[in-house]
Amino acid sequence: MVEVTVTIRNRAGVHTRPAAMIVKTAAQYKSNVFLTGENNMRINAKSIIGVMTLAAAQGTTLSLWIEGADEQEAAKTLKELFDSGFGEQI
Amino acid sequence: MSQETTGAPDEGKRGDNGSSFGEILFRGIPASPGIAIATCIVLKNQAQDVISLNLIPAERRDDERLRYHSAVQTCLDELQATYRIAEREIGNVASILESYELILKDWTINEAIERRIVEGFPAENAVLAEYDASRNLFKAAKDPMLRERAMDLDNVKDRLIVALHNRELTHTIARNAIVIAPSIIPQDVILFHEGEILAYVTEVGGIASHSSILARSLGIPAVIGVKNLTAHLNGGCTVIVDGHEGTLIANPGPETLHLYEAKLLESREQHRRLAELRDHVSQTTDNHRITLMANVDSPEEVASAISMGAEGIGLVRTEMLIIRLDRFPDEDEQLEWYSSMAERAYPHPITLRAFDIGTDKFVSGLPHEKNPSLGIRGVRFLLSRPDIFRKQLRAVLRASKHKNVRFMIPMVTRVSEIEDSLALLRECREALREQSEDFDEYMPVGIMIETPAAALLADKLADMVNFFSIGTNDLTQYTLAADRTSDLVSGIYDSFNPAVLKLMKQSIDAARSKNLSVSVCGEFAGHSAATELLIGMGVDVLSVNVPLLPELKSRIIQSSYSRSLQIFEEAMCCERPSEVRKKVAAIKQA
Repeated sequence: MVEVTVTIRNRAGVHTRPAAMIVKTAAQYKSNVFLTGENNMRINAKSIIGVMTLAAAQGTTLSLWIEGADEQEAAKTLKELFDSGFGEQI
Repeated sequence: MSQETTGAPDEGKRGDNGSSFGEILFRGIPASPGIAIATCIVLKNQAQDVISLNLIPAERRDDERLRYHSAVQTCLDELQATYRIAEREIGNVASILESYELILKDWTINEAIERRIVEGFPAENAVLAEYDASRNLFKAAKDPMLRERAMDLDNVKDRLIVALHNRELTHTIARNAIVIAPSIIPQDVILFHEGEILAYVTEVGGIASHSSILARSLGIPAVIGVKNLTAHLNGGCTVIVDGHEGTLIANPGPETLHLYEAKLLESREQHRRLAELRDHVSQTTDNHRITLMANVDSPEEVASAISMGAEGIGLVRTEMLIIRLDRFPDEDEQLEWYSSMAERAYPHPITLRAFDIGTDKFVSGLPHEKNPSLGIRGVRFLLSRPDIFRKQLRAVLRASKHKNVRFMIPMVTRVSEIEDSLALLRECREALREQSEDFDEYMPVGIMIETPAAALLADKLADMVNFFSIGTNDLTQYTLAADRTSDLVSGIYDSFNPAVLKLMKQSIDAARSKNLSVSVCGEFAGHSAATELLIGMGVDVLSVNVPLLPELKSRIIQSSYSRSLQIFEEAMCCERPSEVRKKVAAIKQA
């Protein structure tokens, strides 16, 4: 099990496009990937509706909880995705 | 002629045109310009009439599940078809549609829906229940933009319900018709466009929504935000959609119809001229090149400027962002705004003018002066607030990474103002370099020539910057000491005054001798009688508000450089504005 803390860096927050990127990235791995937001609600990162309901605005801190055979790679890639601000203006 | 209404309609007074009820005017928000007159098709809300309380018998629940799967597949197929059309027609809109695909494939919601179906719910009910539950979570979000995304879920839900009913929307029904619907999703816009729709009107939606953006890029007139429209209109009646005004007129009387038919003809004619003009190089009959640019206040305008043939943005009034927010935007807010403009204009240049909180714009929290047009505005204000100036410089630099951003300093009257501004700019560059931020090291910096002082010092200033832009509105106001907002001196405020023309000429000559480009971005640039005068004066770039672009371009391509030189020379011999105007008119007619 790997737990990583990430921060939403892009201005617009987790809107449609970043949510889609998170889901697509998480879905590449066999591991279970969960995200916990500031309201302590834990959602499945492979569900776009779940990720969108996080409603994570810029500056929000989320914790990623990953468990499975490829958890290390998944954690690394997902952290990079969040750190890049989803390739948007930060 | 007709009564106005928002939401509920009132019957017009002119109910004598033979129809069961008279002309009705509905007011909405203009989302995409253009006019259409046609029969309407009204799509009622699909999800309303499906609630059934009967449980599905146990032996048919598997079929019900399959029915749901095939509805999802239908929606996915439809999306695929839309992708292909979208890519052919407008290029990169795939990301708009991608989220719909991910929602349709979302396993958490699919699992929840299937669980309900297994419990005996009809597929429609299961879809409604689960989508509405998720949607309500969205609605509770603090961030308004995320709240709006609840609409994405509604759109997918409606689409699923339609598919479950096997009532696939045949988009060809829209052929030569106007579609009226509670909402329209991006796929609809694209497919309706294929089906040769004339216009659409919706009850909800935003002008920055994906559907509205698509409508504008596809040239489909659209009006949005007309509340309860589908409840008040029946399909088959004649409607007029005015995408400029944001209105819909149902059952138009003969007079209204006549009026709009004329407008429609005019707008078609304009469209035709525009298309003809767009690919025409902006040069005089004797091949003297004049670059045509646009003045804009928002990223949306950038796209329409470019589509109307602008070769760049000659002026972005960045203070519009302050006015819109009613506060100073932070660096990242500015960066986002500037970048989205730079991206839309790319590879054409955009010219960001530093905040000029002028006399005619009010922002709360700024010092109040008795005579603000002679007060702390433009670069004076910026240098007095290095915290604000620095943020803007950093944002502008960061937006310059694609190397199509130019920066411009307003209200210059002294050499030291440029020295100080450039020093601050150097400092910002250094800081960004240390932070390994990507930006254009050689971003051109120019100044506005809009005070007599700047025009008179032009030869000195030309050594310090990369370009000049003449702001004729302020240059006229300051040269003639006539407030351009005062009716009492409106007879004095006149850019054709030889005093103004001489200052302009002096600035242009100074720029020419140092090989700087000179643009004119005030109202004078778009004045119908001034085009040849400005060309003759030696201006390289004319920048005007977007709606003026086609006319200005057609004037440029009809003018001749040699005649322009002659017009200017004769105008410079005049003593009065009226004589200049006469000269301009006389030579044009000769």
